[in-house]
Amino acid sequence: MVYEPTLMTGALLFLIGLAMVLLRREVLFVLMGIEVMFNGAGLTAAAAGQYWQDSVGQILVLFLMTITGAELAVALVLVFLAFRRLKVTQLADIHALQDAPPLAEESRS
Amino acid sequence: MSDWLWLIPGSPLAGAAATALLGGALRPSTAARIATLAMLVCAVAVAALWATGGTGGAARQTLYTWMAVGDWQATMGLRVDRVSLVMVSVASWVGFLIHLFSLSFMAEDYGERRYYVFLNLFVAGMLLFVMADNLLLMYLGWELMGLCSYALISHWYRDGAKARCGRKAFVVTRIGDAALALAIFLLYTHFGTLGFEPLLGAVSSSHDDTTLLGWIAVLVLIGAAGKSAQLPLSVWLPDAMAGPSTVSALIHAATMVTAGVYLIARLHPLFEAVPQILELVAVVGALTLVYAGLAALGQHDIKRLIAYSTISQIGYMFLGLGVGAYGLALFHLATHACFKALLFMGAGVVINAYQGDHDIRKMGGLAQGQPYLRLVFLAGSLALAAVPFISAGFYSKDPIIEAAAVAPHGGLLWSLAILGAVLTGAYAFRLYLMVFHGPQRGETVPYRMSWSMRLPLGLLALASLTLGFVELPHGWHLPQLWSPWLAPEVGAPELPHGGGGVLLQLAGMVAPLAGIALAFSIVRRERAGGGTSTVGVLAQGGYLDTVYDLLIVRPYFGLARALRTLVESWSLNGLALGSVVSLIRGGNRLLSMTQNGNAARYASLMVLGAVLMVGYFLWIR
Repeated sequence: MVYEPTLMTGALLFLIGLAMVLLRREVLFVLMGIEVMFNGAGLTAAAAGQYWQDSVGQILVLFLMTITGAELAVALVLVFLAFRRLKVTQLADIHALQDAPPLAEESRS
Repeated sequence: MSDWLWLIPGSPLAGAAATALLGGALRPSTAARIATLAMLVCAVAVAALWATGGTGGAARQTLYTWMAVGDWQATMGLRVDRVSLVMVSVASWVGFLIHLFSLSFMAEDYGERRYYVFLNLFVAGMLLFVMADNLLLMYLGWELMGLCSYALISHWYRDGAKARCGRKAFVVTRIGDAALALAIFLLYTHFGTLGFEPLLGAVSSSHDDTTLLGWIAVLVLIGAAGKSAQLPLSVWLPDAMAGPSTVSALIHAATMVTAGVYLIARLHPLFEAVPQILELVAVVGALTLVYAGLAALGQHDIKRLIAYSTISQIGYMFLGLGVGAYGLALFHLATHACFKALLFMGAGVVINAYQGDHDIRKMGGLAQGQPYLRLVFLAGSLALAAVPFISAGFYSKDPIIEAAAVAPHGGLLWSLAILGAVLTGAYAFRLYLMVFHGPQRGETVPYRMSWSMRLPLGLLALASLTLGFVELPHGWHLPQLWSPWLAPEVGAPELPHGGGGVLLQLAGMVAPLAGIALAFSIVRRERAGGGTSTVGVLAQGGYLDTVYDLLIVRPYFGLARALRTLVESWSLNGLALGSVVSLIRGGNRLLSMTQNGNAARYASLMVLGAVLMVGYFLWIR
């Protein structure tokens, strides 16, 4: 069996997801990027299970899908609440817990 | 018998503590009454001491052990022998009269509670100082007086110049304090004890090491000169006039300046072991009395004039100590306390009558407005000038001048002392005549003295005239009480006998009268706008302040300023502190850059970290 196309596809998915997480501004797209990254990782895990002739890889993929589904439900609620309560969709605008901006060089005696 | 000795320094101390602790809860007049009552208790206790133990041996009481280190211990021990009994009586009785006078004199002032706390504490310090049975406890009282003098001189602290006078007094006397502390350290290292009786016994019996004893004696002399305002540390006393007149009376008469005299009288075996230092004491006294007498002639501020007269009279006491006439020095101390307290409190009334003006050139003819004040002031001036026969000052000062004549270098000392006597007569009556006689000048207000002001002045005036009769001149074959009574403690003074003695006595009688005659002509010129107050060197007190300012004060301030700029600002704050501060600041900025709340930044840092870790595990390990 040839593994390269599968692994390359997994790596590509991971990188695309990473790029979405790092570059997109909307919270929803960042979440989607995370999902894409999960899929890349799952594909890689399935290929690795095939390579070592071990069922653990496929079990990991099943777990991954379940947990991702649960996580996504919570995350979507958070995004929804953030929109409804804080009226924001951009990730950078969610900073309710941030410190006050650092003092700009207080006057020295 | 003497287990109530603690009451003497204790009651003013308790009075001060009560006023200080109850503080705002008391009305000012109540605080004044508490303070005066405390002094009354103290004065009565001293009177009881006279009645019971005044003629016997030393009364003593050890209260408790103050501190103990190994074998050595310092006790809170009180001891009253005849020498200290004189001092205790002066401090408590004159102190009580001054408190009584303060009752109405200070009634319309600010800060009465503070005033009475420190006034009481001042007397307590003096009493502790004279009653201590060891040098350490004595030093405690000595320092207590230094503190209180500072607080009282700058009583009107809202006036910056007066606060400065207080600081000056504190700093100048501190020079003497430091010298006395060094002397105490040396005495302890050499003799291993600080109690007076063992210490003085050891000093008299050791004849081996006079160099060390000489240094100790010099240090004690510096300490005494600082407290008693003798040359060269005399500059603080004229400025101590910034305080209320009653404070001046207390500092000049009952406490503080007499402490130096008592210190030398108490430690006289030390000085006798090194006779050349004892001569130095006499020389210091003789020079000071002439210097201060000349300076007093040039003053136009009524209180500065009396202040210089105090320095001059203390000079006589030092002269008496220096020629070995300790009893006579103490006698002059007692009479001086009476007439000087009288003169200062009288001067306070004069100043009030002239609405706060101190300048005697603008005064005159007060005798009509204040006949009672004029009489008591005349009594004080007579005693200060030592007018023969009728004043106490004559009986106490004249024997000192005679004793100076038979001491080593007697001719020089005697001439200075007799010159001082002429000067004393001149400045005392210059003051009296300027203020009370001549045409009425200056704006006066009718100032009524209450009984609590009249009574102390009257009693002190009586004492100024009659206290001398306890010691009639020795050549007259009349009873003498003072010298024989003190002789067991300090020995009898050596006085001239025969025809020479009579001549010296005659000279001592003529000198003050000559001075008074001189005063009349000075006053005539003074009223015409001339006189001695126009002579710069006299009015400025020999430019001593200017010289010290140039030699010590300015270089010191310059040094302090240079240190502040070079060391404090540049080296410490600029380099050392600055580098630490900028290091912390830079680190803070660097770390806070990573925590900017931007989720994308966090994510990229996580990616970076993951890449680095994976790379490390794959290729480097």
